[in-house]
Amino acid sequence: MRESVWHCLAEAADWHRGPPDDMPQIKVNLYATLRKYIGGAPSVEVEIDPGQTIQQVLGRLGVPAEQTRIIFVNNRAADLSHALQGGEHLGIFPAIGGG
Amino acid sequence: MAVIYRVNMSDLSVRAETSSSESVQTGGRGLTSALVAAEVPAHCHPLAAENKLVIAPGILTGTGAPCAGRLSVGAKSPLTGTIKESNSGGMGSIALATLGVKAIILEGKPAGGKLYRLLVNAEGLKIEPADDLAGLGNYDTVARQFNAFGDKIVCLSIGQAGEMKSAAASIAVTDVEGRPTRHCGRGGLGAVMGAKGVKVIVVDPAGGERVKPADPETFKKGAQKFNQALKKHPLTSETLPKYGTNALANVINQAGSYPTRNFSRGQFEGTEAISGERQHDLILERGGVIAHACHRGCTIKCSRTYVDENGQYVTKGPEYETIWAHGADCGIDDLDAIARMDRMDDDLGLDTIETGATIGVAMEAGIIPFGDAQAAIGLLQEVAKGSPLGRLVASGAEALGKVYGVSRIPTVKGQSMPAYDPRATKGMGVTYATSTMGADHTAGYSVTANVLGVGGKVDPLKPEGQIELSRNLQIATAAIDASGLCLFVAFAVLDDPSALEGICEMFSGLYGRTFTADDFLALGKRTLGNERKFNAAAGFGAAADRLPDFFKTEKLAPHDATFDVPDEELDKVYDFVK
Repeated sequence: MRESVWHCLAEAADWHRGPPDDMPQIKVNLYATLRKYIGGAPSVEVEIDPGQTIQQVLGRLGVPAEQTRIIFVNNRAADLSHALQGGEHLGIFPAIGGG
Repeated sequence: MAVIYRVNMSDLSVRAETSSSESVQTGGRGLTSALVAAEVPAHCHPLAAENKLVIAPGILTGTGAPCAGRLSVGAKSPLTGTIKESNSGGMGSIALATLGVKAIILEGKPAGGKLYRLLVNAEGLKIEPADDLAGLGNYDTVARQFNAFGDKIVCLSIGQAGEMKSAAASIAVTDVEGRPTRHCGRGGLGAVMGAKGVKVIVVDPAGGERVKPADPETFKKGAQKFNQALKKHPLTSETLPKYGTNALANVINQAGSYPTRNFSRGQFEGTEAISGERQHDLILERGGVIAHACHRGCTIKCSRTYVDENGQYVTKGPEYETIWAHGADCGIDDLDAIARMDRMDDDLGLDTIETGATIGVAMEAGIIPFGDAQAAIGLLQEVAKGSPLGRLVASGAEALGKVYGVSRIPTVKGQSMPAYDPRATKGMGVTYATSTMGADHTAGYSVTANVLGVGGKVDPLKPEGQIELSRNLQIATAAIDASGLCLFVAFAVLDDPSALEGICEMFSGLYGRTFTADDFLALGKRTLGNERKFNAAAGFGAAADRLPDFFKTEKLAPHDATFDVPDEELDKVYDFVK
């Protein structure tokens, strides 16, 4: 329990520090076959203009929208037209299954 | 010619029955559930002579249909007390089908706790003494069979857990390399095989032949269409072969439905370290294998070979459910430790889902701390020793939780839930609650529309739409399990109508008569009807179709979700059964 509280606090602290010029920023987590578009890293921080859609952000990152299948914004399902305000955590996946 | 072997383990006699026309037309779960429902007294003790273990290849197995090598094993379950069909990949199903075997039915019980080997080949089925195999794990057991009978055989075997008749015992099936890595895991059917005194079934397919469709042209057309659909779908053609089943870890964690530390949270901070992406990189760095097929004719190839830091073989996969059960559910983020536990489970002959979940409950009970991988391995070593604690671990989460006074036990009908918290994937909760098998993800995999965006979308956090979703998937799944097709073909079937057309054309070709999508669904409904009938006679009514209460009362982070699909709605899932 203590461990997870510290984890949350650390994340929150990171978050509020923010980028130097205070442009709204989002964190984009890419998974599986999509990671190759950001050099294999699991995530990338991106500055946005408020109101930009996920599709626009993916376009800037060079991730082909048609290869995305599952999208989360702050752990909730969303679609490509979702407008971002800054501060969001995105999770973007291709078609995934298993079990 | 199709044959059913009745093996009486009380008097050690074998009767070969030419299949009736009805049983020739069905197979897999369709046949195991029909036979168990018709022949096993619903109130019998699962380890008694009256229970029967039925082993059946699928309807399409052995025909050359793609991804059709699944094996069904059915009985009354020692874990749940319900009817059970446990399903496995590996080479067993194809080997039996090519010998024309529709089913092997193990009946009775030998006197004096003796162990036997069944040898099945083109000549028939023989029972041989096998007391020399007593106490061996699956790896040693099958190695001795390969030495004795050559490398073309396939083995179905039990480890120490099956010999102890533990409720979490599995039946191992050897894979393409002859390793006992594929298991009929769920429901403790290894204990039923142990109670019958059968340590290993050796299948030698030499002299067998491919199952011949009545109308080869139609069959071929269907197989090609089906194969194309599997090749076209990005899931069955790209992400499953590349990342395996464990590509799910990050998705389910993102969805807040990744059960962590015995279902106390929906996200695990160590997910990336045990994810499919990490597993993929680690396997390739070390010279392991990805895109591996667990049986001949599989085109999806979701299996992989896990090796240690020296490149030495450890185990297959491991699979998503296994990595979750021994990982997030126990607070463990060490893939090597998890792979070692997978190997131990396979060798002992334990269901990896039940065993991991039981270790999670043992951690909740304070027997060992959450996150302590070495202590978890120690619990499995207790199983190998057959100590009282080890026997408890091999008896499943509900038994261990009761003995240690744990109130948070994530089971339905005595069977542990797999890797999706039902509060944040409510369609899965409906399946857990109402499945004829106890908590079982494969019985109706609502994660598809709830999370994966396959076969439409149903909000996982709302109760609406979940009943219909789960019902339709449970029906389709029962039909797929009867067909012998791997359940993963469903990802293509749900998105691409040509996949089901191809399946129906393969059935039409096999039978030599028109077989439609309605016939396919009727096969599923008939199977579920048999299972519900058995369960009702065994004493399972509506009150048994419920989740443990804590899912209704304890909120799950990060969504603060509870399971709120009303009970009266759950009771409508099986409206279609007369």
